[in-house]
Amino acid sequence: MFKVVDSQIGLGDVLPQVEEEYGGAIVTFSGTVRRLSRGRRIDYIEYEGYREMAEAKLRQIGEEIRQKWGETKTAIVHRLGHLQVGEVAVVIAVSAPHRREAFEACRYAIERLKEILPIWKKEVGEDGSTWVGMGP
Amino acid sequence: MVLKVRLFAAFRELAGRGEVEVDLPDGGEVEQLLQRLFLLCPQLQPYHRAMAVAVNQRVESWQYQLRAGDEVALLPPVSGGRSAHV
Repeated sequence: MFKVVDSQIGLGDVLPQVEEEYGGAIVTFSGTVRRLSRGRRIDYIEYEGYREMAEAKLRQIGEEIRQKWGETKTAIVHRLGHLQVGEVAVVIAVSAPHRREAFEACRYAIERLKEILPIWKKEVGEDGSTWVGMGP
Repeated sequence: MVLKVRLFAAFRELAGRGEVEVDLPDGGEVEQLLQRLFLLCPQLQPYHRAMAVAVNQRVESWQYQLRAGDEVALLPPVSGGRSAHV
């Protein structure tokens, strides 16, 4: 299950999606908005995305994981919009027959997502706002 | 043909709009589209080499030939680093 949504998310959105008879391990990841970013104090983040393409890219990541680690199940949900510090921006769950594949694949999912997902974040803090990735 | 180009995030704010219509001959290349777009939105030109262009939700090269009805989007660099959205 791969989705981009506008409302609050949590591990409960992805965990049941990957539970299955042949999985011996489930690893989850939850990405949250942090207070400090590169030395700046953050008030909130605006996430904006190219929704249809982002969902296609999430499906692609699930496919890549199956190619690399075989029989796995992956679920990823990313949230868009206005997120306060501490709120959850992305949740991932991967199940695999054994823990090693599950850990590796979950790590891969978040790193890959950071590289290819067409979702951008604007950090808003006391000293103004910055689109991350656009340079200083 | 007239193509709608979608702009996101920093590019949307720089251009002051989320969509721009660009007139281009059928079969025109992505690079040609960008040059015409920069005439309409010169604020985007400095980011020429940092952007990726998606056509029908796939990132394509500067030489990709566009057709009527194609869905084009300019993608700013993502937070994770590389600008190539492969």
